[in-house]
Amino acid sequence: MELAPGASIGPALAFFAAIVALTIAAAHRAARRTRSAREFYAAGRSIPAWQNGLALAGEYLSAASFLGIAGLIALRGYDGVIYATGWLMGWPALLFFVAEPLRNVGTFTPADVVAFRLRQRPVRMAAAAGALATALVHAIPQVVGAGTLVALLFGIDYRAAVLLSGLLMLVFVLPGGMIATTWVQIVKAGLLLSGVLVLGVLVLTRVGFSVDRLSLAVAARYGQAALEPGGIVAGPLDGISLGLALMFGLLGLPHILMRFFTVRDAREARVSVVYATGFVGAFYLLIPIAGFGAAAFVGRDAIAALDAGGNMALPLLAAHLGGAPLIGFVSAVAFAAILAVVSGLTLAGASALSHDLYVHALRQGAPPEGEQVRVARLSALAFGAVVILLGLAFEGHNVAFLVGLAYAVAASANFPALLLAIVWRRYTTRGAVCSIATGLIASFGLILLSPTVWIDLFGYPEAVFPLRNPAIVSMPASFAAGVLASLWWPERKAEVRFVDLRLRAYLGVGAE
Amino acid sequence: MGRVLPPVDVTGVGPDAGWVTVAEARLLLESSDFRRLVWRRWRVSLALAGVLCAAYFGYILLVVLHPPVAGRRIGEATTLGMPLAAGVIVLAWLLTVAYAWWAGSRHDGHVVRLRRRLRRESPVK
Repeated sequence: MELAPGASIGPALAFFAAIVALTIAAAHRAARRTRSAREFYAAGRSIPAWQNGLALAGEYLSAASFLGIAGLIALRGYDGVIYATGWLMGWPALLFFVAEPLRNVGTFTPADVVAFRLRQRPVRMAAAAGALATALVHAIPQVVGAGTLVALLFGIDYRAAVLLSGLLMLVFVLPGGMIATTWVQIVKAGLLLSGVLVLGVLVLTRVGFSVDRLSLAVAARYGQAALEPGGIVAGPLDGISLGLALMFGLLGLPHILMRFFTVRDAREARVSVVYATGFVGAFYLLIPIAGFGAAAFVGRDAIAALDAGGNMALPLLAAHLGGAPLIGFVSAVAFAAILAVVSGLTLAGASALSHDLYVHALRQGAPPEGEQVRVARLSALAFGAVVILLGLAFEGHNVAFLVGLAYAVAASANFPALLLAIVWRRYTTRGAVCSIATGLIASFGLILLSPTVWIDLFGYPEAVFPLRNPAIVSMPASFAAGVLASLWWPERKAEVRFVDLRLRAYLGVGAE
Repeated sequence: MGRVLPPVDVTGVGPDAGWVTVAEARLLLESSDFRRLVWRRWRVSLALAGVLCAAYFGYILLVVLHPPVAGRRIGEATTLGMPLAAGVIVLAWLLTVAYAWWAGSRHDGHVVRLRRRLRRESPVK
């Protein structure tokens, strides 16, 4: 069937309304249980491991992975598969390095762990800056993507689409906090996984469940080159730098890290990563089948005609395989995906604003429970409003590079501070502030000078910094700054309190 | 040094445990048992992370530096690169399973044993 803007509005709206109703019902139930800060930020630490695993997968799998990577595989062939593989690699690293100590030492935010034995005010401010920068930079492309996608699929105005998705997001987050957001993520992850499973199976039925025949169909249309590595990675250094950002960026994403405070203890945190890795891995195993299917059955010209980035490959494939009902389902899933990621990011941004900046930096940990929850809701409103406004401001701009920037910032500003706080006895307040500041400045500065912005956006002929992803420089720089500043300005108190941190991190003594 | 830590439920059955002072905690932290626990935990983590990095960065370097290897046909049109990519993904998941298995069957027992040693002689009621 043909795919015109707004053509699928009927079934898409029906699916969409069903999803929204389902999630609002869950969020409403959650809202009645959300009274304390522990419930608003951490869902009362009551989420079972398998649910948290699904929610983690939901939090992580953005529309960029659902639509973008499938489109990349459809248009660029095997190169897209190389790119897809990297997105799973952070999960085992998250388990090996931070999941358990993070759960044991922290209460609501990763900054709890960084500031545990250091001077609260400076460290909270620096860590909140890192978390807010990551959440904002990550949220903008999601909102812009949501606006574009909804405008294209439902045939409504971009601004109306952005406002609608922003308002819906606030409906989930404001009353229900983490419990509601968790349910949004679980519903979304379930939909996303079943969506890609249905598409994958439908593609495979067309080729008699033989991957080789699918490859043959792709090769028949676009040559054997579509199944061979091409030039997506500019060189070994660029490849390793991107890999580092993907792997260690996950360990610094505030909306992922704060999920570990929703489970009972370190053991549940550990098991939830195993579930999450399984769900995310299954997703990345299936998405190439859908992507190659789109190339074979829909064709690259038709995909690129609707959106040069390939974002419409899956909706088009759905239209080809299942007609209006299936495309409605896929569009609704994609929209739910964006909505859910923005909800998680808003909650993460709000907790950095309220728990780190207001409660700990401004009120020095003292405000009563009711005030904390009130400030948390206000922060969510403020953060959400900023994200919506930025989404409106960036209409029509190519902001895809911001996803890469978010990972670079997370890997360079948030992750080194967190790891050093857990493992290094001689880490100090100044060391933490210096490493976060260095990571922020280096990743933002280098991405400005990189080919991604300097050539593609500003139009200069040659980039000042040769790599597309700065992580290979900015992450070691941040570690170096943290170590050097700590050695230069030793802090006796922080070293003494390392005892408490180790007891909590390894034995769970005093963990909440 | 006399500062007290929050009350600790070391028995796992309820809040009947005593308070642990930093001096007592330090004794435990300096015991060879605790050091061995921490050392083992990081040795296992780093070994598994090493396998992960070797597999993933090895794969990236292979497709960047020697594209013909991954482009070699293993079926009518399927290339070696596809099972390679799938293998890296499956291996990454198996590594998380391996860690969780190790932690659940070996590590957790040591943690519980060490926590018990923090229990005060006289329970505070």
